[in-house]
Amino acid sequence: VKPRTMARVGELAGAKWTKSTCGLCSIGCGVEVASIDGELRGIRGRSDHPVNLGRLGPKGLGQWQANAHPSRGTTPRLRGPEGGWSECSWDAAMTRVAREIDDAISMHGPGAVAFYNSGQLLLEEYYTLSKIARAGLGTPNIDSNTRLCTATVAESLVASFGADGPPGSFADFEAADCIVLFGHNAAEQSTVLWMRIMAAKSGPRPPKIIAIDPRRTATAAAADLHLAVRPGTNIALINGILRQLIHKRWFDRAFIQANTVGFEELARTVEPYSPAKVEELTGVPASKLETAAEWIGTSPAVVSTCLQGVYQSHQATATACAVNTMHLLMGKIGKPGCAPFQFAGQPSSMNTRETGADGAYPGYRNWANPTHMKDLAKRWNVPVELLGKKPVTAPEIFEQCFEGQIRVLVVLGTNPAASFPDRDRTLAALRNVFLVVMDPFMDTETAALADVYLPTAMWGEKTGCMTNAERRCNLVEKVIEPPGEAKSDLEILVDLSRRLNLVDKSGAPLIQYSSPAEAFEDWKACSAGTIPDYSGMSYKMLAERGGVQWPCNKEHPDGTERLYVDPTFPTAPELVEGALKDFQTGHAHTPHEYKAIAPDGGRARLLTVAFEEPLDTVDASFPFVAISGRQVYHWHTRTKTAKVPELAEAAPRGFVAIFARDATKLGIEDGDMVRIVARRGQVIAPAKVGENVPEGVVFIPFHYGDLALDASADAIAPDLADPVSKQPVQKYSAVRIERVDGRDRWWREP
Amino acid sequence: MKNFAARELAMIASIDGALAKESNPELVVLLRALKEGHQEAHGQVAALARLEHRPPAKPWPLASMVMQLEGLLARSYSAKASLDALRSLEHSFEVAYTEARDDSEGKRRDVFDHLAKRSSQRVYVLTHRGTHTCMRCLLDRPGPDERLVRERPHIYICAACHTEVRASFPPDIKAQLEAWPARVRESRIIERALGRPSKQKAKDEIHTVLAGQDRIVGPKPAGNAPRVEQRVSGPVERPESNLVITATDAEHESTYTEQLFDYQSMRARW
Repeated sequence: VKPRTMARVGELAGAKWTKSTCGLCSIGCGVEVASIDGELRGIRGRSDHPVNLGRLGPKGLGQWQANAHPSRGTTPRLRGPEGGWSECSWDAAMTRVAREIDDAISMHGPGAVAFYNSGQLLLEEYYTLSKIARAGLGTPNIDSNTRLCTATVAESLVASFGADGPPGSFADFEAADCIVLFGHNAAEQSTVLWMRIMAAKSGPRPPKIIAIDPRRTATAAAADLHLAVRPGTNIALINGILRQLIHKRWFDRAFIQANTVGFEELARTVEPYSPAKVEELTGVPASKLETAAEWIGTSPAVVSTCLQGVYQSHQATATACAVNTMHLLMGKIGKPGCAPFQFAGQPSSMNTRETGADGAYPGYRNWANPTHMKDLAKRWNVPVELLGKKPVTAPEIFEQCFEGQIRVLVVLGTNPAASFPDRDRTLAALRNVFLVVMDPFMDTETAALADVYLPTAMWGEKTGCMTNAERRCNLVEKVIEPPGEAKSDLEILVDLSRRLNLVDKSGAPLIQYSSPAEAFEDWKACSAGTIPDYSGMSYKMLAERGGVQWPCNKEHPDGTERLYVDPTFPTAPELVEGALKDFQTGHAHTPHEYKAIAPDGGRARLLTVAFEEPLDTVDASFPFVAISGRQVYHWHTRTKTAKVPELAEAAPRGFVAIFARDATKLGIEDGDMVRIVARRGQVIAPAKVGENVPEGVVFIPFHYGDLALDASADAIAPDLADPVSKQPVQKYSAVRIERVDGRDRWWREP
Repeated sequence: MKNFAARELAMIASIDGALAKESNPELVVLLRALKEGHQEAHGQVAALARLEHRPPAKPWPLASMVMQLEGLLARSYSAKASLDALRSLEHSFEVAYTEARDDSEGKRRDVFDHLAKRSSQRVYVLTHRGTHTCMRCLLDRPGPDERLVRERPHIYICAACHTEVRASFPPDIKAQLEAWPARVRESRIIERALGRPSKQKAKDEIHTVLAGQDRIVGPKPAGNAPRVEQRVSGPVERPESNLVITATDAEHESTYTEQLFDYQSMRARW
């Protein structure tokens, strides 16, 4: 592919260019960042970087403009008894934080302290946080906002293959004959990947593209086949595809026999999902389902992706597993152009899972496996007895805050006041704890509630690694100093560990490093021999090569492009990252129970389940279904992107997309303000009337968390999660639509 | 001060010994809960040591060996013998923490009081086990609803927990429970019952009372929190920047890129 360069630059006279990595999404594009006298001045894609070959998306191009925003925190702040904030020294702030933590733990146990982190920090920071929380303080309450986006990835990969770790590479998209996007609006989520797919589309062997999405998105419009699935019915659709593959004999019998278990049960489960039945359940015409199955079944190379349309929906883990099953059924895994791509969304969400800063243990170790825990304890030189606590998930953390079980919550680089479902309940939970917020910006909805605010360095102001969705670890370089007294999250965590006097078994400091490079070395040692093995990497190697894909060790010194080339899966009891969980209750088998059901010979599982109706009931009072999603110009709750002029101009405010016929019936015109009422909250926004959403469905972008304006899509999302991954169901809320006074048609403005 | 941190580690090691052999899923959950209780206790005494600027505890290998041995010997006979041994050990913690409390003042006294009470609760649980062990409350309490029992994996929720957990959903979810198919409703009740907040509630509100203590009630939010008028701020005036894009001969990519940087094209797809 011919490299092309994309750049957004200001005045560049005398600028210094530094190689780094984009910090916006999970694609991990190589960039060069321009700076003059300690200020960022521009960015351009690295034409020699294997991920993007010079390309960048609108957010990646604009990100540098947020660094100099006046809302950046420059000094720590403490909330006084009157409720106001006052600036203070780092010593005063950190002394207070350490004191609150020790007070809470001494009186109530380590479970009284929780950490809720991000998918935007650096590997070294997650790893240090994980070590402090798990080995130092002993709290199991550590999770990441990746619970809202890619928790289902990990659970589905563990259930199907035995361990987390996406099998494929981005190069597989260019080698594929058919690309299936399940709930993945790639044109708005993964812009550079979509450019690569579009380039392949113009190439000598254009892939067929199938988009599965209730809306006619930019992705769906460019696809060769759009399956407009009814919200909440994903599993019925994929079961229909699986049935067709079996009925038409588009499966690989030899692969199935040698490498999988569960074929007979799978065939029984999917048998009721005839094309006609699927049409009845999902709204997708039978002929389209048959075409999709034929393309998938007869294409030599198939790549599938799943994203939030799957992960934030009803029966999330089961659906993601069913997509894995589709590839196993056809033996289309571990080969060029063949991969089920359970997609990470954030730039370093992979690292939260690898290092144990979410509901996993470092190196994909199994918390219930004593041998795994002994190994980790040895690497960390801590008593094994302190490890092996059952991981706790973010919904459980917020519920514990609400119930008064957690007394101190530290939030790092994320904005749950605007992003967590059932917002009123979340706000009440955040107010019920001593809240420490570590964030680059003071103006987030969560920082507004903080008892202690700690200003942090952001992208461009610190060094470390981010691993992208294809397991490629990239180096992010410090280009300028952070503003004022802001510090990197790593510096703050190291300081906290020392103030808390956290020690290892020998009485030496638990965290014996202070620089990112030293933290990376510690992580390399911790990961050596595990599935996400980083032991063969170095910062120098990452910078020179444009990242390296793990595992990278003595056996694979140049990294690993694809997993499961030799299709041996880590499902054996001694290897598995987690025992199989029940899809209905999320309860895991005990080690003894798992031994009885573990596949032998390193075989994967063919999994799916029967369709069940979504839980938030549609009835006469709440006759519509609200779904949420992203806009290409914003990231999450816009804490960075709202500050970038071009991005804010492109998408300044929220809206509610309503199907034209529904709008007509309700007497609503394009631009009329409407109130979307659910059983737990409401959203007020202008109606964007059209035919991109199907009948009976409204769409609300999730970026707008403004607490004063009832704009947050999460205000109406129910406090329900997938039982296995505990990922909240943010894409299915029963609602009604009410017209209110006012008009706004900002999308018609130039 | 006695070396409580080291004793806690030794107790955890002995529970680990039992866990390694236990095949009954209900007892696995019970043993894990006991283990976590002692991990929490270890964290408390370690934090107290930090607050009092005392050095961290040194390991206590002899005690560890004795406790592991006791546990393992018991395991070789039966689960009951093992749990009886653990109950005996648990009682020794209750006595030791009570003595420490009586010898202490101020915060130190409060911490040991809490630890003694938690030990007492665990003694109660180990003393009053039924035929089954509820995976939420670790007992087997009667109640107006049915017990919830599943297999593969095995799940057991007692009747009382069924009722309590059913009543604990947020109001909007509780209002819909009846409309869901029974199997789905029960699955969601099981899921909630086995979550950490619900299990913690069982410890704080059930074990406490059954052990003759006051229930532990943490701070509770006063209804829905008042609104915070907070929004992320928009861009500020900055020197203009320029977008530079080199051409590509890939037609589809070119078309997409043009759409991407033409707001109206993308807006039309929302």
